[in-house]
Amino acid sequence: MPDMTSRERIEAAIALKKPDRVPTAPLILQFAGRYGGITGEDYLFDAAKGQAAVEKTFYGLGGWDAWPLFVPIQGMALTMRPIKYRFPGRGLALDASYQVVEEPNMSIEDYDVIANDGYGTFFKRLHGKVYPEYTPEQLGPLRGKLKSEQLENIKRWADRGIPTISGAMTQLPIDDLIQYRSMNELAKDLFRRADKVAKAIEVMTPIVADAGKKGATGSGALGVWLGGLRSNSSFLSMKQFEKFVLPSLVTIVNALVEAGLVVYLHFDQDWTPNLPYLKELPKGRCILATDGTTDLVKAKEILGDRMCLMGDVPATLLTLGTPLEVEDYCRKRIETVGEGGGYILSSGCELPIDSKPENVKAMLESVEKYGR
Amino acid sequence: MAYQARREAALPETLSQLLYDLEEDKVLAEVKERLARNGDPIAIIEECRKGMEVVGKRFEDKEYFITELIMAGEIFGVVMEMVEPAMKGSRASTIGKIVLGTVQGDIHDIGKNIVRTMLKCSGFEVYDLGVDVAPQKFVEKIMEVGSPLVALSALMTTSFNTMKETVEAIAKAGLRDKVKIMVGGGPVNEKVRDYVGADAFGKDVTAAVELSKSFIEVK
Repeated sequence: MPDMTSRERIEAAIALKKPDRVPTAPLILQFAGRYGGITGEDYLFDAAKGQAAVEKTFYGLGGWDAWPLFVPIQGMALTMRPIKYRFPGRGLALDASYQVVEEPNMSIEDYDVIANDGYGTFFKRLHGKVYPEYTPEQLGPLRGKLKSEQLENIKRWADRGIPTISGAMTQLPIDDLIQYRSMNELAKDLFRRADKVAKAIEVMTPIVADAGKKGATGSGALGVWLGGLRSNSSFLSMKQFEKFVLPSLVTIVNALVEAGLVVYLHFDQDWTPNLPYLKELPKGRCILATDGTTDLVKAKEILGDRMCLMGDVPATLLTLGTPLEVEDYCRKRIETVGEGGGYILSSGCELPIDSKPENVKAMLESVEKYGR
Repeated sequence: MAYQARREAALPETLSQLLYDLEEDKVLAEVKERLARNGDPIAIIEECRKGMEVVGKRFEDKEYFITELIMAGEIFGVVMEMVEPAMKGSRASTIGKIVLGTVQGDIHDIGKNIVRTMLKCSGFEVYDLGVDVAPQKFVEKIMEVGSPLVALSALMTTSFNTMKETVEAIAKAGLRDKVKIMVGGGPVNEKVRDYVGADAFGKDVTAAVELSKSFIEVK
């Protein structure tokens, strides 16, 4: 029997089947810039150089089966959301990793703005506050240009047989609020004005689902990225999770799946106690991608017959470990989480910018060694 | 016993209980009332500290999560501000000094801030240098206040090298035998502790407090 194509492998894993070998799809955001030999600033703000660095990284390391998110990531695209960043060459060293500046740009009164005037009105207002340098007239064309570049990149790789999983990026409403308000303020809001937070989430939920649908439908990618960063047991109690996370998670995922899209659940931090709740999500249409904090073996036990699992080579192992240690970690994941299919080997969250290339190679090669 | 159950049993609620049940309004009302009738501010602080200990215990037992720690820390902070004018120069007892900060190049501080709050509640005099702190700043602060403890925080793998440089700067200043160095934060583990040459790694906020106490030999 001939080998499966990369796309067939990824689709088989999502459908909880066993491909000819375990597929692999590291999450490449900033690593490609450094591996490609250009500065972080060029990688994020010069699309042509960024694209060249991505090519160099993919072919230099021997390739893989899919891109979890369209590549390269663009600094400008990050600034389309009302979240402040520090970028390499712009407040940080040229070779640094970009970082979110988490500060309470959203006020307490803004909960009422979301409830009364709508999320769109609030979003525009907050964006104008965080990025006064963009005029409203600039934003439309700029978003259009970024989107068409993303579509070109998705197509470029699809033509070479490498699918992109996420054609649009969304995040759970509570994680958006955490970034707008800051973790510290949002945590207090959950006690002092819980109903206002819940109301805002209710208003945001269908809008987030629509943005995912519009962004990914027809993009050539398999589906939508849905981020869950702090919406789990590392930060929230189960009671808070049930009230502020679960209803919006279920609504958004169902809406995306009904639109024919796969949902890439990019879930950082510790979701282990939250895993049983994910059984509610539609079977064979989600990928749960974790960062090494969630117990992925437990996830296999609880969710193995519901959703594809992805991950989770830890960042510290990729930067400070040895190729043998990485290989050993991957072998164990392939043997346990990969058993019977429904698994994609990947970096836990983003492949760190300072990963040792020999460690990345060891990860990629492990699927051939142990995944057939 | 939870607040509701105690109320039904008609038991009196102590300040410490109100605090660990995160009854913000009731804590503040109680403190206000006690201060109005010249209650001892030190006693108020001690009772709130006891409440914070229970909060820490509940966090360890996974009954409480980060949001509860932040809220409890907030209430404790407001109480401290309220009692301050009544202190008239007297001070709550402290058990030791510690210098804390997120290392150079890294601006993440959620974890660090929670550690700061819990260390303060445990009686430490905390010198928080903030985020993006240069190695030399740590050295200067350790020398200035004579702290036997320093805690370095980081969320990114790229910060491991600056953690290492900070430990080296402390050694170069001749302080390595005089201070215990702890590291913590998202990707930090035993491997990182070994790489940077620190004395200990704390996996979460309760570990950070326990390590700090053990280093200055507080039971």
